[in-house]
Amino acid sequence: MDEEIIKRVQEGDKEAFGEIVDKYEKKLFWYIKRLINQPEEEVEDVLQEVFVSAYINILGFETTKKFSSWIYRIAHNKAVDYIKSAKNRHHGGKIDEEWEENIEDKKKLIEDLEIEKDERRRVRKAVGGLELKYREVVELYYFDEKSYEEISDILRIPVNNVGILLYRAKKKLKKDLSNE
Amino acid sequence: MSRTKNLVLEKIRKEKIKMKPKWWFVTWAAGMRGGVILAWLMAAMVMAGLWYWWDVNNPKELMGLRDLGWEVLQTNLPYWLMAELGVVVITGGILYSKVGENYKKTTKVLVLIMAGVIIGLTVLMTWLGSRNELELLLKFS
Repeated sequence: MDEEIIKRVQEGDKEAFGEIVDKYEKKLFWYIKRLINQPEEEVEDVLQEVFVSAYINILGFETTKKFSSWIYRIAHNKAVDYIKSAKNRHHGGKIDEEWEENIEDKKKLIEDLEIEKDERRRVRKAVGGLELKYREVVELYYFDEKSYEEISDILRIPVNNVGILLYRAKKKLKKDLSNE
Repeated sequence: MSRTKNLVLEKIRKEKIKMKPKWWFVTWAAGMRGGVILAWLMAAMVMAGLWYWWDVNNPKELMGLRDLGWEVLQTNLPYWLMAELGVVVITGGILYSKVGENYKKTTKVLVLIMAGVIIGLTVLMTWLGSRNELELLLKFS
């Protein structure tokens, strides 16, 4: 399905790009928001950059590959650029409540960490406190429900390393949660 | 329509943003691969030059002459060639790791492949190359 839309965009159908935005806007918004932890307006700016960059580079995308991994890769790059940039000075506070609502459905994470469901505030704090390399893997695996293969394509790391990072992240989370 | 969609589509419609042409990506990919081949060929050439230097100067024998041998060795060491080897190997390695889906390979595998190819090319160059060419390489370094 994605491939058909991409082909139309690649052939010059400008309006078809709107369908891509519709499909990925919400997912990418949350992915970026969880990574950069900034107010909505900042996240929207980064999101816009992601779609602009995707459009500019769309002829470089090979339709034999997975489009979602490709656009997540762009989102990852833009989010990392944002984090590195000097403008990342202030910290948004609104995300906590939204994140907590978001985590309610993530039974797998709750199970893997062997914690109670009502401990989500603590989980949020612990995930937010992880180093970026661990946080990203946790976000992609538990929140965006990506496979190891897809995470490998998004973060450009070997599949084995995805497993290692995830294992270490869970270990750190468990340790942080038990220390509290 | 969402704000993001509106803004992005407006930029596209007004042609404030344009797609990069296909040839740009093809050239970029070819350039990366070409860069890797060039860096590996240069590394092999430099390694062949270093091998030739080792063969001509025989450091083991020089070390037998103690201080004098050490002094001669220090004076004759092809420093530029060694630095050049470091630069081309690092450049080649970085470029190679960025080609295609090489990110899926571990650093160990990438290093092994690269070392294998460079050593293979060095053997080939040493075997095929004439002493004059290697002497020339040493002179220029």
